[in-house]
Amino acid sequence: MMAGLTQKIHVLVVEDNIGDYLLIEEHLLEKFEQIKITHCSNYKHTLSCIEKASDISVVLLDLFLPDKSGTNLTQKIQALWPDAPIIVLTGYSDSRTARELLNLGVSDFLIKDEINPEILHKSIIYAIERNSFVRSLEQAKQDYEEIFEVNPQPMFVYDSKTLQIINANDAATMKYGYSKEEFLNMTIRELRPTDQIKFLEERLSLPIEQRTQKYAGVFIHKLKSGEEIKVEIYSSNIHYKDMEARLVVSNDITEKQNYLSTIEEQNKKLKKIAWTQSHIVRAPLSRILGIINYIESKPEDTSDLLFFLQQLRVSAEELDVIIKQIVDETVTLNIDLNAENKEHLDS
Amino acid sequence: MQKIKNILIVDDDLIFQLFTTKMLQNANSSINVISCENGLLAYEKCKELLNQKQDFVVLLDINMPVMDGWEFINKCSKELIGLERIQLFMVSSSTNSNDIEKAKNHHCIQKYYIKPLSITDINEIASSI
Repeated sequence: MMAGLTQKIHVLVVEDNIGDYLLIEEHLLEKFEQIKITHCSNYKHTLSCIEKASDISVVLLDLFLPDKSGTNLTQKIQALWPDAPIIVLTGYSDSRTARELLNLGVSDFLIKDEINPEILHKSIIYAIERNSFVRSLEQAKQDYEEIFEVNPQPMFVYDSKTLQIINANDAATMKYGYSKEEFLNMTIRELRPTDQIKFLEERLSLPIEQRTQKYAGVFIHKLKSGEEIKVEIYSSNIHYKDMEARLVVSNDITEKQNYLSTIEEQNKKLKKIAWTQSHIVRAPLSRILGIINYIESKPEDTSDLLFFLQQLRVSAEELDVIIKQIVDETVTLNIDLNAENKEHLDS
Repeated sequence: MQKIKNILIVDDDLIFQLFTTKMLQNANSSINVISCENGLLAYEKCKELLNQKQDFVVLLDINMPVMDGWEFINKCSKELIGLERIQLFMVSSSTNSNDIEKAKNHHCIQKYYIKPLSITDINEIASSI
C-alpha cells in the first residue's frame, strides 16, 4: 500500500547547498502530488522553523551544515521532531558515519550522487510507514505497561527460576510498603512469613511447566511493617523480558475474612438466642399457660387455687430474669443499633 | 378387672408434672401417672415396666439436666427390648423448627406436642392408651 501517494506529507529538507536542495525539491514534486516542503539551510534556521513545521512527516537531513554536523546534529533534530523519521543525505566519503547513525534510530541514508526520484520516493514512503508501525507498537507497549503499572490490584512479576522479583506495580508498593527498588532486590520468599516458606518450597518443587494454574489460593504474606495479611493469589506464566516469569495478582482479603468471622460469631450468638428463646423462655411461659389451662379445666374446684397462683408468680418472675439476660446478650452482638434503640436497651 | 393405664411423665419441671398429672387423672381416673425428672431416671423406669410386660405412654420433654429427651430415646432404642409396648409423645416448650422436624422424622416418636398442653391434647393423650 503506497499510503504516501494519497496522504498529504510535509517534508522538512535541511540542506545548506542550494543546488542539492533544488534537485531534491524537483524529485519530490515529481513523485508526490500532495506535498508541502519546508527548506532550512542551517541548524540555526532549523530551530526557527519548529513552530511552522510542527506537522513534519519526514526530515531529509544533510549531515554537514555550517553550524552543526554529524551525530550531534542528528540527535538535535531527533529531539526537535521526536515523532518524525529522519533520512540522512550524505556524500560517498561520509557513508560510514551515516551507517552508524542507523543505530541512533535514523530511518535510512542516501548517497547524494545516487539519489533519483524513485529512490527518494521509496525511501520516504518506507520511512513514514515503518515509523507509524513502530509508533503504534510503542503505544501498545506503553498501554500494556500502564495496565500493569496503574492497575488498582497489587501485581508483581518474578523470575520463575530465581524467584527474583523483576517488576512490581504502584498498588503493590502501596500495599506491601516496599519501594519499587526494594522490591527489585527481593525474591518472593521474602514476602512470606518464615513459617509459611515450606508451602512455597512445596509448590516450587514442581517443574516450571507444571506451575500453570491461574488460581493459586489463599496465602499469608508479610508486609514491610512486619504485619501479616491474608491474600488471595492469582498467577500465570508469562514471557517477560526474555525470561520465564510469573505474573502475580495479590488480593488482600484480611478485612473480608475478619468481617466474615465477625458475622459467624454473631450468627452463633443469634443461634444461641434462638435456642434460648425456644427452650428457656418458653419453659416458664408454657408453664404459666399450662397452669391457666389446668385452672380453667375445673373452675368449680378452688382448693389448690392459691398454690397455683403462687406458682404463676414464680414462673412470671423466672421469665422476667430470662428476658433481661437475653437483652444483655443482644448488646454483646455489637449490632450497630441506632442511638435511639441503644438508649432503649440500656435503660 | 380394669387394666392399669400407666403414663410416664419425663420432665424436670415439677409444677408441669403436678398439673399435668391432675389433668390426666381428671380426664380418666384409671390413669396411673409416674414422674421422672430426667432421661436417665426415666430409662430405669421404662426398663422396669417393660420387664413387667406393661404397656405405657411416655410424655417426654427435650431439655432436661443429666440426660435430655434425645439421649433418652437413643439409649432406649439401643438397650431396651419390647419398645412396641411404649407410645412416645414429645412434649416440649420448644417451637424451634429443628426440634419439631427432628421429632417428626423420628420413627419412635408418635407426636410432637408444644407446651402448654390444652384440654384437647390431654384428652387425646388420655384416650390413646
